Amino acid sequence: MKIPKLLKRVQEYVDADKLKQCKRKDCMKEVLHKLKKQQRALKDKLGKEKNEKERKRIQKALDIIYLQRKKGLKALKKLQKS
Amino acid sequence: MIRKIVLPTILFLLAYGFWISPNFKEIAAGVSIFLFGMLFLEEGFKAFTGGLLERLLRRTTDSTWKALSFGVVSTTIMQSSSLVSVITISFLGAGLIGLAAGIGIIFGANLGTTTGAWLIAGLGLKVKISAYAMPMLVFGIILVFQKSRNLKGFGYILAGLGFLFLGIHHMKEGFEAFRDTIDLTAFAVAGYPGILLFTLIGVFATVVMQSSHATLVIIITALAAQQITYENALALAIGANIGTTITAILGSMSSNVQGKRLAGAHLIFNMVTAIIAIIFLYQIADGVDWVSSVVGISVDDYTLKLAVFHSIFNVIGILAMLPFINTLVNFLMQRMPEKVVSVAEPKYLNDSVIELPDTAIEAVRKETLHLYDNAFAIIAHGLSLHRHDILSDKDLDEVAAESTKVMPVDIDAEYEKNVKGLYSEIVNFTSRAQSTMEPELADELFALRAAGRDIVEAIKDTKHMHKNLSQYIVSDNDHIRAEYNRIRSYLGSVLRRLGVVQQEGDDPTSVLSLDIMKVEMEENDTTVNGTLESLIREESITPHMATSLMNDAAYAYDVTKNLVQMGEVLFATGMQSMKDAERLIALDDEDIAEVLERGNNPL
Repeated sequence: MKIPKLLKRVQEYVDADKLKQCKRKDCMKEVLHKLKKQQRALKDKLGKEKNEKERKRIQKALDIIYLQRKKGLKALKKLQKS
Repeated sequence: MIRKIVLPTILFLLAYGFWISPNFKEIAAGVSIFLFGMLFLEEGFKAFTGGLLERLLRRTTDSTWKALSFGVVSTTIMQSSSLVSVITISFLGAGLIGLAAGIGIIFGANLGTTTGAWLIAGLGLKVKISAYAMPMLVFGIILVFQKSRNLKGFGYILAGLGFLFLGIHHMKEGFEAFRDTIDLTAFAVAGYPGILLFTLIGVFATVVMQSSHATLVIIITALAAQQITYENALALAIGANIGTTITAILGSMSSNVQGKRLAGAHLIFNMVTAIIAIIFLYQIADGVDWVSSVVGISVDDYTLKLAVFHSIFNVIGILAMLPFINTLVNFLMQRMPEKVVSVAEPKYLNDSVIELPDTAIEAVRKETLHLYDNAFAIIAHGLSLHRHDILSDKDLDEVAAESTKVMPVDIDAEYEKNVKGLYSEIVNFTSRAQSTMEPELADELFALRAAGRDIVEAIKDTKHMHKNLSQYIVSDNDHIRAEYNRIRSYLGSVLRRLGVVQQEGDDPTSVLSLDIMKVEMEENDTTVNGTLESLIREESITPHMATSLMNDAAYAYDVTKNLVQMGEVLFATGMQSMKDAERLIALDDEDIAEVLERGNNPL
């Protein structure tokens, strides 16, 4: 294989990888955005809820979403850096 | 077409037979009652699987000699080798013993039955077991209606034996007309033709009378009246030995392939023994004379000599066949292979999609979902819950408390029928498909295969739980019943929520909501342990119940864990990058521990 052709192949490969990275970032952003929306909705619900058992359940869901978002943001930062 | 007309033809012929012959009606009813007894017997033995009977049988039949002794002793006590072989077929059908042990018992039963000849010839005694049929049925049926699983199982066995005896009784009654026509003097023939003829008569008479003992009585009477020669009497005894296998063959009709194999072994053993006995009849007769003179039996006491002959030729049969037990097992397994009845055929996997990586992955995902649908039914029924209740909005605590009826489900059979074949197809397809895929996509395929494995594991855990669960949800002890209902309701809620996540497949965060189940699973485990402690402390449940509950809570935990793991992979749809993002965010064990630690403190 000639050098220019080889370089072209390498370029294509790098671009494909870039495209994949972009897709990953977009997907991560989309998931984080949805989780944020859920988090807000749950916080509103928690503010209105009087039943103690239900409050505990919502709080648990919030704790989980908080950790999920924390992990997601960390992963997004990594993706943005690379 | 032929299949469609077979059943109506059989029914019509039977109806016609009943109309023209009352004897035929009695015989057919006898066969039906006998088979019904077999079904009862198997049902009864199933109640004891995994328990005392299994351990007892395993210990008493774990070597050929032990199995042989078991056969000899049980036949001597029951005085019926047919009954022992029928019960052994039930043991095999219920999976309590292996084929080799079963064959050992049958060999032993053949020797044990010769004690009957000694009793008839020597003491003129015969234990008439058919007289016990009626009381057995009454006591058995009363016990069948009891709540306790063990009593119920015992009731099934007792009633099953009662029906067997009753069936045999009716068959005998029906054959009464034929029996009157058996006149041995009409066939007196000398030499080998006579031996072969009388062997056949022995087979026929025993098939007709359903008892080799009854044939022996006729032989002894005929011999005493000098209607037949001594050689002919010996040939009749050989024939009776072959004829007695008909009961086992009848019994195996309602059993699975294992039972049929055993009936095959019984027939082969008795045939081989008979052939040896016929070929060496005169030599064995000389041996009988020698033994008789040693033990002090007079030369003309042919009845006792017949008993000696019966024992000797069965011992010869055992000695000749014992070294070949394993060969016999292999032969029967080859000749009568286990049929895998799989109604669960793959719907989405076919060779046309194997070359297209994305399509192949989607096909595997859909097929694994199909597998999950089948597993869902098995797990739900294993918990004695209806699928429609799980998928409804009903309060599952109430559903579990109200539905106290144990659903009759054979998890092993369901697994074989609806899961195993399908799972094998998925594994086979993924192995072939991954070879042409790039690593990233192959990883997804492996994840799907692991999801399939999780489903299978969840079924197996449910199976382990099923025995105790069926026993305790109908228990008189409120505490243990409540705990098992809690397990049912909890697992029902797991299945319900998985159903919701499956429905919301398009929303990427729906799979992430499975993390709540992971946290609850840990919380539930802690709660169960706490409750268990207090129940033991307050002596509300017995230590036996406590151990069962402890084990089953662990199984329930595993079922949840496997199903959640499966859901994370299987319910994630959309493009690969989205699935990757979801998996990066999903909580791992460390994160779950953190959530549990934070408890009620808001972040």
